[in-house]
Amino acid sequence: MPVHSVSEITKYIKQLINSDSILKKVMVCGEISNFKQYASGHCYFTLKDADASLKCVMFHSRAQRLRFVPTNGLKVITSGTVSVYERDGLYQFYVDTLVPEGAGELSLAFEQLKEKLTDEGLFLETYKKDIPSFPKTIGVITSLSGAVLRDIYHVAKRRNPAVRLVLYPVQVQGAESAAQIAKGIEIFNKSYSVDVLIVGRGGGSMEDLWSFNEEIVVRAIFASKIPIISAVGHETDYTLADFVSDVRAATPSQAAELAVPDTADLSRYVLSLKAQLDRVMRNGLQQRQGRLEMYLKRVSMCSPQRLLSEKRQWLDSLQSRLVQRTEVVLTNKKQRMQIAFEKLALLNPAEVLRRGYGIVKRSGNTLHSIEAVEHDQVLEIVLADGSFTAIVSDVRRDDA
Amino acid sequence: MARAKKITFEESMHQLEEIVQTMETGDISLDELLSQYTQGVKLSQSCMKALNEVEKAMDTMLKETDGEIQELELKIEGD
Repeated sequence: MPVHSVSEITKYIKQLINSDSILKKVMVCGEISNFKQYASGHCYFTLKDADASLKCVMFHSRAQRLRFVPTNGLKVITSGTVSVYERDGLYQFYVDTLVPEGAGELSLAFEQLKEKLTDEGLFLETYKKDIPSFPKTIGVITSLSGAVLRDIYHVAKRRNPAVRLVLYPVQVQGAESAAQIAKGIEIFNKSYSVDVLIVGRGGGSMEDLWSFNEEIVVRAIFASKIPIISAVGHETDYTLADFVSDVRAATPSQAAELAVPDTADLSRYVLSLKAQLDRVMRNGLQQRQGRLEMYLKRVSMCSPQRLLSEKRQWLDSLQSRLVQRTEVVLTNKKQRMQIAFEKLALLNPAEVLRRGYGIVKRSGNTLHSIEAVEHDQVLEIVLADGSFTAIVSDVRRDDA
Repeated sequence: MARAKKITFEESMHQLEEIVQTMETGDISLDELLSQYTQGVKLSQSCMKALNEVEKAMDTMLKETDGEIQELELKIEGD
């Protein structure tokens, strides 16, 4: 029995395996584990099931065609060749294609990219730009042929005949498509500014719409300074371009409606603003007039003339009260004087004498009592119209 | 001499809306009210003028070759 070197025997095993018709082109399903991708782009992982495992390598040239990122635990169906890596004495599976089991490859890729970009914040509302309310120039990125451009054209022109369309024609599906769409967005942003961009295509399968799920397109839309309306496929189709765009239109016609306001609508709006302006102006003036009138009224209430006349009135009333009061006092005094006069008259001795009384005097002094009167005294008796002298002949005292 | 920057339709409309709002608060002087009104009327006129513009613009198709952008007339099929 000959003795072989390690290299010889390994080479032999490799030849044996490589010559096997089944191992040359085989499909293997299993669960991914220990997945690693190196800077070189090569991917290394293990496929396993409950009872066994298989070392796998997927070279960069193959791996770059993957639309999704393989992850540990993912059940996949792979195709490739089983061969030997001589240096490590290792048989391994050289993977050509790798697709997820169950969910389609595109769905998986979609979900993965969506998750990644969501984490980066690309779909946040805060980044959404407003669509200008009266754009004059609309950039359109779509295919030159096909109904999309025609629909956009007709709707836009009907709503505003003066609007201008600028088309950047692209392939909307196929290998070149995504790069072209991204390029178009870049050109509009860098070299040919428009007011708003419509990016889209008509309906199709998920595969047909795929360009609008490509990272390069999503990032270009996100980076655009010009607001972008996406219009991809039908109402029910959602692509990542729709998520990242500033506004998603269900159809190309709707995109044109969103981009181009109806001039008739706008005219009505401007006219209503003008009417409001007039009304506010009128109200403002009326309000001021009203206030002015009120102030004038208040001012006239405080005018010196008015104050003066008020004072004069007060003075008048004071005067009249003074006169009245004086009269009352005077009348009063007059009455009292009259009474006094009457009383005085009653006391006048001449009057008394006229009524038949006489005054008895002795040596010029009036006698008031019988006490001082004595027998033979000479007394003077004064009457109203003269006097006479009398001699006392008898004194009679009234008993008390 | 610096030319006054021509304001866009959006800006005109926005200014007009703001003027109406400011005037509605009623808390401005008569002078201001009058000047705002004058300005508002001007803006509404320029907006209407922009809307009634019927000058038909030529539609364009861009073609890029080696970084050079060419403008071609855009013809819509079936028109």
